[in-house]
Amino acid sequence: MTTDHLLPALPVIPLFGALLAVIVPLNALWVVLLLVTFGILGSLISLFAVLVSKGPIRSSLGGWGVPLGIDLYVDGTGMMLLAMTAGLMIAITFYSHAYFGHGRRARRFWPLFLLVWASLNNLFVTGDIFNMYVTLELLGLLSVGLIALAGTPAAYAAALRYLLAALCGSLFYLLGVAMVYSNSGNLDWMVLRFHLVSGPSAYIALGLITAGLMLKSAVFPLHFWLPPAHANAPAPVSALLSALMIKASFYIALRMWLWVFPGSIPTETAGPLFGVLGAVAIIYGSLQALRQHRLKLMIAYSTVAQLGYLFVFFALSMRPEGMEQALQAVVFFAVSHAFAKAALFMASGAVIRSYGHDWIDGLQGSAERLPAVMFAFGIAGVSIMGLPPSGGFVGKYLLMNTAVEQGQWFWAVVPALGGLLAAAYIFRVINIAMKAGRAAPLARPVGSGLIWPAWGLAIIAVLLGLLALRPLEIIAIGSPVFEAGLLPPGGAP
Amino acid sequence: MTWYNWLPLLILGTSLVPAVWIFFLREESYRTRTAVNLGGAVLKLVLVALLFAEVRQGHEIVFEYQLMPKLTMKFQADPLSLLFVSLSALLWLLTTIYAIGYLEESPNRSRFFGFFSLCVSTTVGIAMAGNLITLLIFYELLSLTTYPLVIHRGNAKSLQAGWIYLAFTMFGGAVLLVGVIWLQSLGGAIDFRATGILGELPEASYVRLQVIFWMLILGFGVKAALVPLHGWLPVAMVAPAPVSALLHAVAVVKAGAFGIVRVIYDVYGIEFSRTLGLLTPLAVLASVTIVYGSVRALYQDDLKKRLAFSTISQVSYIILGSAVFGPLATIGGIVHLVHQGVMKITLFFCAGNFAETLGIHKVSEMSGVGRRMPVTMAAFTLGALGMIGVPPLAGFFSKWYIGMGGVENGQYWVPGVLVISSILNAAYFLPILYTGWFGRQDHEWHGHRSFPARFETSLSLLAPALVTAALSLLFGVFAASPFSPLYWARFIMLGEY
Amino acid sequence: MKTNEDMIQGARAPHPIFYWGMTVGVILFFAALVWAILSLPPAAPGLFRQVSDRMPESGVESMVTGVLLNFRAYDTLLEIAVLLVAVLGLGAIRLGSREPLPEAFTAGPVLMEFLRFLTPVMVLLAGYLLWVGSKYPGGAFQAGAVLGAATILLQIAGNIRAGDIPLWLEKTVLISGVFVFAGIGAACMFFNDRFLHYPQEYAKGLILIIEAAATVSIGATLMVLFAGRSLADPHDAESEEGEHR
Repeated sequence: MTTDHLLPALPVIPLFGALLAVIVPLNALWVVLLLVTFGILGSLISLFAVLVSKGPIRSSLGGWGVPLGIDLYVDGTGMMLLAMTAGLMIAITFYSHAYFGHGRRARRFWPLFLLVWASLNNLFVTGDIFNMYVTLELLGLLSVGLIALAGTPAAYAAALRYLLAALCGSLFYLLGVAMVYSNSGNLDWMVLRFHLVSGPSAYIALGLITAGLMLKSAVFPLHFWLPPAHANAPAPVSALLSALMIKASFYIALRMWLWVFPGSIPTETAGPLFGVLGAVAIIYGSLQALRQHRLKLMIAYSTVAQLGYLFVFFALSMRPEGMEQALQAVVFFAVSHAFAKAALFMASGAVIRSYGHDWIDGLQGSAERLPAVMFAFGIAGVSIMGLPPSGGFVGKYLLMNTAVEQGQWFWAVVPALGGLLAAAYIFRVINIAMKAGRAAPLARPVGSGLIWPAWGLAIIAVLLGLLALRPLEIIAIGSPVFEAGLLPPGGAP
Repeated sequence: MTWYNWLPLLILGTSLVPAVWIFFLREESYRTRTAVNLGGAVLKLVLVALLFAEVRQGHEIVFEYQLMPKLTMKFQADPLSLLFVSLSALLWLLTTIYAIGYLEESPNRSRFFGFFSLCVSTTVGIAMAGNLITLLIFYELLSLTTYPLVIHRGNAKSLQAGWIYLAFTMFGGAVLLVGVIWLQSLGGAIDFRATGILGELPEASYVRLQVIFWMLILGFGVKAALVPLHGWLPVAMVAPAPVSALLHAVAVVKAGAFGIVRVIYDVYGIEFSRTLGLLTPLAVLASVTIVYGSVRALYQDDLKKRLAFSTISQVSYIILGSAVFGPLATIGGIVHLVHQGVMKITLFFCAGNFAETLGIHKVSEMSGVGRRMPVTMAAFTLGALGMIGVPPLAGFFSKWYIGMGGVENGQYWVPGVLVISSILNAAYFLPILYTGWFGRQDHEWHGHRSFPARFETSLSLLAPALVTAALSLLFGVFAASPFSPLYWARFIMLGEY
Repeated sequence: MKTNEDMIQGARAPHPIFYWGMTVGVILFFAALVWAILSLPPAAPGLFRQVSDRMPESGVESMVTGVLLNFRAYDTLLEIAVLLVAVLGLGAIRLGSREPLPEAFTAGPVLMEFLRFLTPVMVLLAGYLLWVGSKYPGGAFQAGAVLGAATILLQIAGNIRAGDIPLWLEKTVLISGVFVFAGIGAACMFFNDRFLHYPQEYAKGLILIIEAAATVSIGATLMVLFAGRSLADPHDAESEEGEHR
């Protein structure tokens, strides 16, 4: 078992799992899920060991090598995101089993679910930007199907809107990739920096790529498709979308801006623009979240706001001296947000199951009826607010620290403000939940299978705050500042 | 790392583990919950005593944990932290006993005691914090854990109070966070060291240091109820009496004041603070708070609200003591941390007793209560006299030292403020005492529950009040002995100059 | 604040300024693209030379097929997976759909005669395209498209109806494209040294097998997509519509 076996195993194992999930009957599906999980975990652990001892790992598919073929590559950032994906997918597996049971929707759900896992794994190990485009297409279509599983007219409308937005974004991205290829003759993001020719085509390429990715990442003002899509999907799908899939396009943007284009384009100048968009997203998203009457819509707008944090980080990572710390901060923030947001959606799914609706005003006294669920909601909310001891606090702290060290005052204050606004909308729900008096009765008792995954993820979000040191170190492996990444076969350019 | 370095963490654990345990207990498991509660409280006291012993032997107790590449959490047991942690531990035990009796038939007790224990954990964390960032982390946690206690009753007023409380504390926390990060970028990790560490920074950063100082004061001042950040405190009185007792004697307001004390003495250093010209404005602010709180207290009919404004006023004594340069004022300020704690908690325990046993919530209803509940009224009297500053109660000594400190420093208005405040205190406490003892009952008193007829109220409600009232007396009478808080405060002061 | 209901009912026509803005935007965008393309060097630094240099190792003679199925086979694997996702998504959408089942088609005599002649030719054409793809333009996607077209014609003629195909067969054929491709890739991992690294002597044969499976799979995918529903159950019991019958 070499890394040449392990790296492709990450996307291929769940791919096979998905194919089996199409034909295997539902009762036996757990075998498939078990095998897939263990396969991926085993590969991840082995790869982790290699990463830590020898540095970033590269493997040429088909033996052709760059620029002719496709290379797979894993560095610290990739490993962290792969681990995040694995952890979340395992939790969502349990949750989905409790949520969908053995009904008709379950049969449609599992193949799509495993394909999402395969696509995400592929995204985080691939070294080829066209391959990333294919992954984006996969994720987009998978999302549409998954959202439509809800079966309501609102879900269909949201799915269709999402489809159009996703296609538009992918096309822009593809155009940008084509321009990059015409400019440099290369498609590997590790190596592109040395091949890109500075000039109008590089600028336009980055512009197109970023525009497409911004649309897919729901950055203000291109966020319009996100709230209905995430709110109307079934709860496990909402968790999947808000926690994981929205990070995919952000990840590509990260690679583009920090690894690919810095040589040929003065990326520091665009930083403030992103920062402003991010800041507006934080404020706008939080205010909209406050205004919502439905729980899932509120959480979806919270996602819009939290994504704003990611783009504020962008603003700070453009300068060489802050790049590594900002990179650690971004990735860590993305990971802890994933866990916290998924926990929130899982809790809201439990609420919907038991009350039959998700109108916030109707949740009076839910702290008494559903204490475990609301507590998990609260703990996950602590991470969203960025209060200690949570991963959200570590991310927020690192961001503010980087901003202050670089003397950029505005970006130091914005996260603090964002935290206050997040506190407002989270505590609004908790307040209503703890209202004494006539507590609305439950329509159905809530199954424990819906509660445990939410708890697990909420606890992980908190633990990330206490055990942040090692993950942060890992993220730094292979960061652009070091140039420590493996050189492509063929030697240095 | 030797075993005693784990003590801070263990002390934290003695309320953290019970908290988690209690959350899982069902409402009906009365006995288990009581056992866990009391067990944790007693264990904590034992460990604190152990801590004292180790420090006595000269062992340095430090516990560090690296949270992030540039952020290390640190616990240490220096004299000031020992002072606060022992106060917290003792008063937690007493308040637990009180709360068990007070909440005897209310709903959601498991939730209450769970958050109660968490609250004390965070207070202990604040007490034992060894650097500014650790203090900040536990400070924010304190906001989080006290919020459910404030809204415990769940009615509209409680929820409203919760919102206001959150707004103030979250805002303060945000300002604090920005200030701390800024400070760290200027001076590196902000470890607490007696006489402060910022004195060595270059002159060019002085202006920034001043701005940061005020940001920190703002952040801590929210909890310490400095004017104009005090708005949350009277509103938070809707919480049950044990919560008010805890919040106002031990946890929240003390944490704020404690933070300010740390900033002045162990971060900036008292000498450096004077150089930067920070002390006088702070002293003025504290004085305004002292007078304002007392004046507002005069007009309150609701007993707890009157006590709340009294707290606003009294906590600023601590700040005033710290803001006046000189050893005497320092002693006064620091010792008032303890004295105000025991005196105020006595008053709140008594207020709670009156409310639960006789349904008395307002001062105007208290006429003649001394005949019905003499023991409680006696405790209340001791506490009130101590607040006024009557010797030989503890409160007198704090005021004396602060006043003398002002004189020594040439700030003659300081004793003036204290005198005015004492007069005002008398004005709003003495009438209560008079009508309580000598008045005639003119209101129907309906208790919320029935109580055993042997004592005037349940023993678990009575005993804590008696203990703290006795402490108020003893701390004053035996102020010269080496076991008194005054002696301890003097010891702390020696390290700061 | 828009409720979900607002979003479903569709927006009103946008303000005229929107159209003007869009026009200006498109023109600017176009100009930017032109500017960028004109700035590219006349001899674009593509990979033509590298590809043609290594064609002999790829096992085929058509450069397109070489790139698609050998050098960058991984991309193609994922692209075929995209088609599978489309079908799976269709199944998911169908669940809550209230779309009425299409009426059974019938064919007039002209169509029937035409089809009787055309269908075998199309199948043959598909096979030819598949085979010739190694040397000339052709290959799995083209062959699959033709095959799919044939099935669509048959559906229009009413020769293929819902319920004609057993479920297991439908599912197996749909996944066969990806399955064979990934399976061969995995086999290469064990028998050779890494994923999708065909041993050179077998390259041509393996590519042909992969393409064959893909052809059938793609044809079946198009067939199901056109039908808009799984062809296994005549009453479409899975969907909401079917449930109400």
